[in-house]
Amino acid sequence: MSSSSSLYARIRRSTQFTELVARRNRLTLGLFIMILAVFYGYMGLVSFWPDLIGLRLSEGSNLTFGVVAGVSLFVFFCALSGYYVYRANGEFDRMTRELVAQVRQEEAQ
Amino acid sequence: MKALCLLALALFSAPAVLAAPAMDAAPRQPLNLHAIAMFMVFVVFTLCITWWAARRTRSTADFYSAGGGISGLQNGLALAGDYMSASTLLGITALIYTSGMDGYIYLIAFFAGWPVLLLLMTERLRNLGRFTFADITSYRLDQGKVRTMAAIGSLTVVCFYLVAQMVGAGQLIKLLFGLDYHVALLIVGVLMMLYVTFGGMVATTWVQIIKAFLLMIGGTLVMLLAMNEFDFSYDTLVSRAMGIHGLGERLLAPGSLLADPLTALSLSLGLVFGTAGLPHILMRFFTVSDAKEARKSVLYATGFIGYFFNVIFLLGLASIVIVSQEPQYFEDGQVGGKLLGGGNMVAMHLAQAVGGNMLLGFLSAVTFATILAVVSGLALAGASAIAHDLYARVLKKGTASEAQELRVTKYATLGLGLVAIGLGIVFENTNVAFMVALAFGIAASANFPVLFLSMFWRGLTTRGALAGGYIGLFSAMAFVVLSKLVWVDVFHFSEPLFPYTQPALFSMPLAFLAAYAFSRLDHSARAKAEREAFEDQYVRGQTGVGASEAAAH
Repeated sequence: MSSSSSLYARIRRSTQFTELVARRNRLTLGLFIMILAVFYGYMGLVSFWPDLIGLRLSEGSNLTFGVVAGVSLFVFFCALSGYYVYRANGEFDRMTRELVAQVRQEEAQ
Repeated sequence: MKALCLLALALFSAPAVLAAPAMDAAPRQPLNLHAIAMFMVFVVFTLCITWWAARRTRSTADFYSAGGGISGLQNGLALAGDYMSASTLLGITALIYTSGMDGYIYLIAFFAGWPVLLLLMTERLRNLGRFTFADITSYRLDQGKVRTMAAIGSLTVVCFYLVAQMVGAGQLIKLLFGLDYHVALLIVGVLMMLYVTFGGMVATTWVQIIKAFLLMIGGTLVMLLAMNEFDFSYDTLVSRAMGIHGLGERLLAPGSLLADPLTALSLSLGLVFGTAGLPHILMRFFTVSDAKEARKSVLYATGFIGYFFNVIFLLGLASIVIVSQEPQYFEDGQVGGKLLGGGNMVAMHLAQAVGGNMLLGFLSAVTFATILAVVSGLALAGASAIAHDLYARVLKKGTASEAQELRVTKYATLGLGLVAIGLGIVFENTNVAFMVALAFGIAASANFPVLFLSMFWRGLTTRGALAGGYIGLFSAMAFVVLSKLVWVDVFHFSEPLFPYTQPALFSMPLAFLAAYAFSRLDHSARAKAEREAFEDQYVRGQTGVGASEAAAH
């Protein structure tokens, strides 16, 4: 326990760790705000501008704003999740591996 | 039998509670042989899997988390299976059939929790936890007290949800299969006990995967056959639906259900954070090997759920054209009267209309399988809270042997199964919709706030966690008891004392506030040590160093 504790402390002090966390937090926060804005924006329109939801996009077409925006929201959320997983499983995991390897090496010396 | 207003299918998940039209307890239907035959195939197949899984379930890690050996794709399917219950298919198709656009908006609100779960929870859950979410809540706090609190929260959610599922299952199976209510309960209870006691997480996961797969196949098949009648043109479908439906041109405009912004907000909060506090969903994050696979599994689940929800939208619209004009689906053949079997049977009638008795039987069997899979997941989560949290950690303080702990998991599962069957019989004629509201309310108010703060907030102390957890638990229960669901529907008072049926909007902030205030006011030496211990937990949560690893086989 004490050895992993000292490992944690070393990681905590490393600048790479600070950078990893800062980068990931920036991405997470940005995406999170986008999700909330899009979702509550949609729900806001439902509550306050219901006519827009039912509006036909063009005369004679059955595509309505609410359905098209709704389908886009599904697609957008999937794409956004995909982007996060792409960054987290690629870039951030690589940074983490390098960071841990380096700190372990320092500790061994 | 006393006629009663039973939200039979509403019992399967939150949106349906708020959405599904009331359904009268239906009379027993004639035996549905196609459905029974197909269900038997499912049962035999899943029991074979359980037998196979039982030979691989030797350690506690195997039992609770399948040894961390589930892949991202498999876990994604299982998560989607946990989320797409019988009501999502039946209840929401029925909602779109009656109210049009409102149903689609519900689907959107029900979906939005997934990206949030991915961004905020997935990584840290996997990096910090081992078998149950109480592992994380009590990570740096008082093991005995905080774990007990988390386990009580888990068990309360599991019990309410389980009873609601059992009662709904009995009613639904009576309707679809023509079996007696008590026989249906017994079948569900016994199969659940078999899956969980012998196969643990491995069997439960596979039952869930198979069911999710079948549900998506079944839904897609009905959708394709239905769309075929409109030459696969959405435009034609909408034109004809608008031409027939009473709402006409307003079919795709929001209706009355979400007109009140506060109700909409309360609903979405409850759905998003209730999901992030359901023990059987959280437990799934520990079945994969690492955070990388956990993220993938949520991504897959998001894709499957998003796809299926849009299929449901098409099913709802198609049933307006195909079902609402056919006398054979209405009582006494009166078009526009009461649907045979109640409002929630729309999707079933649609299946019969486009695919005949075979497809109806298939969809009925899938629905039965869905119920089984969900109750198994719940029973497993409950058994883990009893055996891992309460027995091994709190009572035995980590000194119990694996064999002892495994034995307790089996007794706990059997106990939960008996409780579920017993309470299912007791509540047969009660409107148990309040139990799902309670389960989600407690998950969002007792489990989620403390779990979230323990991972993100350095300042959380034992005192704060206990205050937040218990205040969330009791306030959620109090709000539900005073709401229309219990005060009026069960106790038959004329006016509810609390105007909303979803407690989360009120009890969740209360729990956060209590956890914050009590932690802040805690100046004890222990609190100081707990705050300092956050540093190590933070590094582990961020990097996964020291996270539990997949068991070697």
